[in-house]
Amino acid sequence: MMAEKKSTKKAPSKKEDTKKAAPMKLEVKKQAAPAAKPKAAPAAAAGSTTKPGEARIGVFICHCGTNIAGSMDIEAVQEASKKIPNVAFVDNYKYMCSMPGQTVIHKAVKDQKLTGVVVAACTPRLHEPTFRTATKDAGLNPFRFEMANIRDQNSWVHMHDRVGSTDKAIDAIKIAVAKAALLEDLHPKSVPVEPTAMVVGAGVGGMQAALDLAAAGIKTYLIEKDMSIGGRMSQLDKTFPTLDCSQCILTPKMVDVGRSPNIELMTWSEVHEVEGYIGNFDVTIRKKARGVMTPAEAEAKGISGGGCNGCGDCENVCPVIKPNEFEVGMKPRKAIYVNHPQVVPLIYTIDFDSCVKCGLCVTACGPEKRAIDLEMKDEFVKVKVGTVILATGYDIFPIENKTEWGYKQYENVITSLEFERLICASGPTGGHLVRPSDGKTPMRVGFVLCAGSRDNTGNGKPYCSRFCCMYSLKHAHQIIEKIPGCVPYLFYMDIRSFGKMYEEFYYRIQDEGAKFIRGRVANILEDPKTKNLTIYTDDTLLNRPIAMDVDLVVLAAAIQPAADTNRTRKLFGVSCSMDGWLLEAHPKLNPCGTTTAGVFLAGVCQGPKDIPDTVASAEGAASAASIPIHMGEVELEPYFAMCIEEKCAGCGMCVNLCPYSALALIEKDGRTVMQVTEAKCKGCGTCGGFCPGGAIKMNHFTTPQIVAQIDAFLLGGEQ
Amino acid sequence: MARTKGYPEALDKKLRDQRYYREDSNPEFLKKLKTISRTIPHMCYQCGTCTGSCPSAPRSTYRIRNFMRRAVLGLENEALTDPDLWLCTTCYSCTDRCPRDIAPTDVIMAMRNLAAQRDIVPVNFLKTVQAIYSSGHGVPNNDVNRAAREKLGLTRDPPTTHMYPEYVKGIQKILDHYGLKARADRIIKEREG
Amino acid sequence: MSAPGNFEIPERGPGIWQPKIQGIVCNWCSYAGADLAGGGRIQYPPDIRIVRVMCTGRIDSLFVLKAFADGADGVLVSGCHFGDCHYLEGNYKAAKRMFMVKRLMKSIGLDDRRFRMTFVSASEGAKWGAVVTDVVNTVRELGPSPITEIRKELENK
Ligand SMILES: Cc1cc2nc3c(=O)[nH]c(=O)nc-3n(C[C@H](O)[C@H](O)[C@H](O)COP(=O)(O)OP(=O)(O)OC[C@H]3O[C@@H](n4cnc5c(N)ncnc54)[C@H](O)[C@@H]3O)c2cc1C
Ligand code: SF4
Ligand code: SF4
Ligand code: SF4
Ligand code: SF4
Ligand code: FES
Repeated sequence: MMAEKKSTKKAPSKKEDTKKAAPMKLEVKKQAAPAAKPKAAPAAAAGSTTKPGEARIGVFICHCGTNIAGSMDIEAVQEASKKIPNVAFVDNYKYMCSMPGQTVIHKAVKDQKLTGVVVAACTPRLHEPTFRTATKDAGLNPFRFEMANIRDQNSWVHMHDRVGSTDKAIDAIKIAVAKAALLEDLHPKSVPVEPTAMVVGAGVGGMQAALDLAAAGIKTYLIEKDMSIGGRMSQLDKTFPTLDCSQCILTPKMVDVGRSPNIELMTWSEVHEVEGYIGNFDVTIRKKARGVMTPAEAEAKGISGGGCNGCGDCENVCPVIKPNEFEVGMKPRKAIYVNHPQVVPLIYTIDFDSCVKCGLCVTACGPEKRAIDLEMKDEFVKVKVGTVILATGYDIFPIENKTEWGYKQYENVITSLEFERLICASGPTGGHLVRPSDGKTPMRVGFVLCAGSRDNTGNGKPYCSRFCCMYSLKHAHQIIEKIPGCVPYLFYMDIRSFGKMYEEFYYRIQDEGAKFIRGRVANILEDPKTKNLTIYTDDTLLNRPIAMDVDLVVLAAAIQPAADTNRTRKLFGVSCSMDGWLLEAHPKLNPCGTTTAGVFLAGVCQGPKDIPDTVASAEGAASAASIPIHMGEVELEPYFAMCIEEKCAGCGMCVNLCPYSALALIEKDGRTVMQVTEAKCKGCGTCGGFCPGGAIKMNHFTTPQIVAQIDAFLLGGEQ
Repeated sequence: MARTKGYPEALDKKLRDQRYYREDSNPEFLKKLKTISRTIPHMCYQCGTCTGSCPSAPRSTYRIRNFMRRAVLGLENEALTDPDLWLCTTCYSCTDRCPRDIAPTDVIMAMRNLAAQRDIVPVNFLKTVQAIYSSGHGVPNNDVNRAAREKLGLTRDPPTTHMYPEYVKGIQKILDHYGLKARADRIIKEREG
Repeated sequence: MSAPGNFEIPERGPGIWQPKIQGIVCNWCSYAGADLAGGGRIQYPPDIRIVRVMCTGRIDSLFVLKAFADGADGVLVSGCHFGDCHYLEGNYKAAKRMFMVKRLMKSIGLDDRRFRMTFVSASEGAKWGAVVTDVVNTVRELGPSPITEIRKELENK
């Protein structure tokens, strides 16, 4: 950012040399602007730095190829624009955002001595930054730019109404010109960025992001709600398409995370509260009571050489038995436990919901370590970070809701995640795939793909879960490899093998003998005696309904955002799409960013992704999150509120309205007036929309500007 | 010789059948189906859940998914003249399970409506109309049923038009209002002479 | 070309009344939703003009009244769903004010169906289309604003 500032400062001066007189006047105006800016400016409601009547606005109409030009009459729009008050210049071009397009703006600002720029094109949410830069390069303050949205909110949505579309475009330009005529120079403030980052969720995505940030020299807090890092990937056996063993590639990473001096790992913790803004987030973490102290925590309590060393003596004596969630309930655990041997950090945890406080574990742990504290309470820790990455991952859709497939009704219907644990050597059966009903090895296994995905009934998920095709192919391979003679049948609608080496993997599995039946499974019935299952479907390629007997059914269940995602995203002000996945700032141009500056997304929390895509997006997010930290400061949009003190009655009603406590009443010159703490104000305008005296000026969205916009449309541009 | 009897003709037919459906396709057909059925047949992605659920499919050549395909493609003649159209039991299993939230059963009913407008209705359906007209029942009571009912301690006839024949008139009035009976009579006469 | 929306395309031209509808929407949800409708080519009637503000919390009741005084036939205010406001609670505060506007309209005899506040998120492009279609249809049914009519009468006198 520093570099950018320097170069833009230089650029106009260079042009001044070559272009003589015209820019000189602009310089004068630019200097006049800050002079009129002090807060006490009289009649600030009308406080435009350009006097009405003096405004010279340039209107630039973009064709966007045929995107805009195809639905409206550009000529007519151009002609009408010329008649709008304050318009000094109108031009149109095929692609305004292109280099030649921006040159048109540049030249017109100089030649026509424009005081404001209006581009009628796509949406400010896409190209406002582009055209602000162009405006700045031409020598104007970048906030002298206003956009008229005639594509996304016009030509694209009124394709069959040419006259209506043209009229709307003309009005949109009138509205934009009215605002542009009253725009003022604004100067964004730079604030320093706290040189630390936070990653929420420590699956493979969150871990990768944290490792990258740490490697870039940034202190990173990694917050994980579970007892261990690793996420879903640590539950998997092998990974497509390379068939690497999941633990083998993940465990070293987990150890790296545990060891990295730049990563402060907080497991069994969650985000409790968030305040602040980019560069300066104050995050409160709830460290849930774990019941067991780490060596460091013990040390801090004066128990030297104490704390949990992972020996597991406590577990042996604990009398409470519960199903182990990590093994999808297929293995028991105690109330004090680690859910699998590779946990990082290797610290036992007490499930206080089931602990009976018998104290046996305390005795077993012994007087040296004294690691267990049955009375431990939740702790709240406050940390300050500059940027945040959310990587909260996913859960499995409760597939029992689709009753036709019999999950939780028939013992031998399992989910793919259960399959992963059953086929995994460290799983509950030591890697032997068996039927839950009788422990026998299945010889015919049916895989139900799109189980709950691509489903518009409301009981299911409308999207493609994106990795179930591929892991079902992997599962088919695994049983062919492990159980000689066992045949996998894959019931599918489409096999989506889109990634690098994925189609080749499909070829390989087909070659290995897996059978593919193109038909979505209608229902499954169980023979109550044998517990065998019959799958009913339509072999759509043969055009024949079929009923197939199998020993085991594996449902490739849909996925959904992790349980706590909604609460967490709201803390950070991040939106979600209709299906609950976190919403990126732009699906193509800013897939890792969000609409909250300084908050980024990694992995599946943004939408289904396999491991390669998760890791790629995590590295992208880490890179994006490190930029503000490396820059050292960020510019905040200068949209904050200002008090017009002569008008302020000191009633203080705005003070309670502000959600960020940015306002306060102060005594000044013997009067009570309101004062804004600019660093706290985020510019929502809630105070400005309310103040009965009109004493609050919202920069860039001032009352005169908005009223002028309304008048421009309804009264035709005159005021 | 005998073994190849009919072969060239079959080949001929096959080649003809393979021709693309374009000239037969009527986009209005899909629109009409949507209006009558109030469902969204054009959203079918041919997954087969409907046929897989259908109790009629394993017992006949009826394939609900095929009719959905014909709806999408606007194959009006092919759909309306296929006798399988009348094999749906209207059990609504397919409607229960269709992942695209389509009601295939209602599409079939819409097709039957359109077929009926062209007088394409199997005679047994028309005879049902006649039975309702004369007795108020599609399947009137018979002696076997009467005996069974008695055994169960029920009245020999149910408390419907069978017990109160004076109400048959009301039913006839409804059917006459729509001209259904006259139409059934006419078509049966045309078919059976 | 995209599918036509669920509305008729009216005859347009000099002397034919078209509803003038002022939209004031927040940047983060409804404006983004309206952009998404564009990306999805969701068709709706063009009789609305949008003014963008950062949050519905910015919307002074007077903006709405000014629009009606200027002769708007309808006004649509649209923002984020409750709980989803980019600034936490601006939309609650706006909603309160908008109720007041509705009451005021009723008391001066202006049909309050001419004014609507809706909640359209950044992912609800289709909903945006449906909302605008409905607003335009409603205002078309109600006809020109009585304020414009009265003003015309006064001018004729
Ligand atoms: C059966 C199955 C087989 C698969 N096989 C493969 C395969 O072979 N190859 C492949 O490439 N992909 C495979 N995948 C996909 C793979 O699991 C995902 O791509 C990967 O796990 C995504 O990682 P993530 O970090 O985004 O999310 P996750 O692994 O879900 O990690 C999210 C982490 O965040 C934590 N968390 C959640 N919410 C919060 C919160 N509010 N606060 C703090 N922490 C929180 C969770 O506890 C978890 O540790 C498979 C998936 C399944 C279901
Ligand atoms: S990845 Fe395959 S099985 Fe999974 S939802 Fe998509 S198409 Fe269906
Ligand atoms: S605009 Fe007003 S209400 Fe909003 S954050 Fe700033 S001071 Fe607070
Ligand atoms: S179940 Fe629905 S989507 Fe699937 S083939 Fe039948 S009608 Fe089409
Ligand atoms: S409603 Fe008809 S088509 Fe659908 S499953 Fe039942 S019999 Fe088959
Ligand atoms: S930001 Fe949308 S209503 Fe506040």
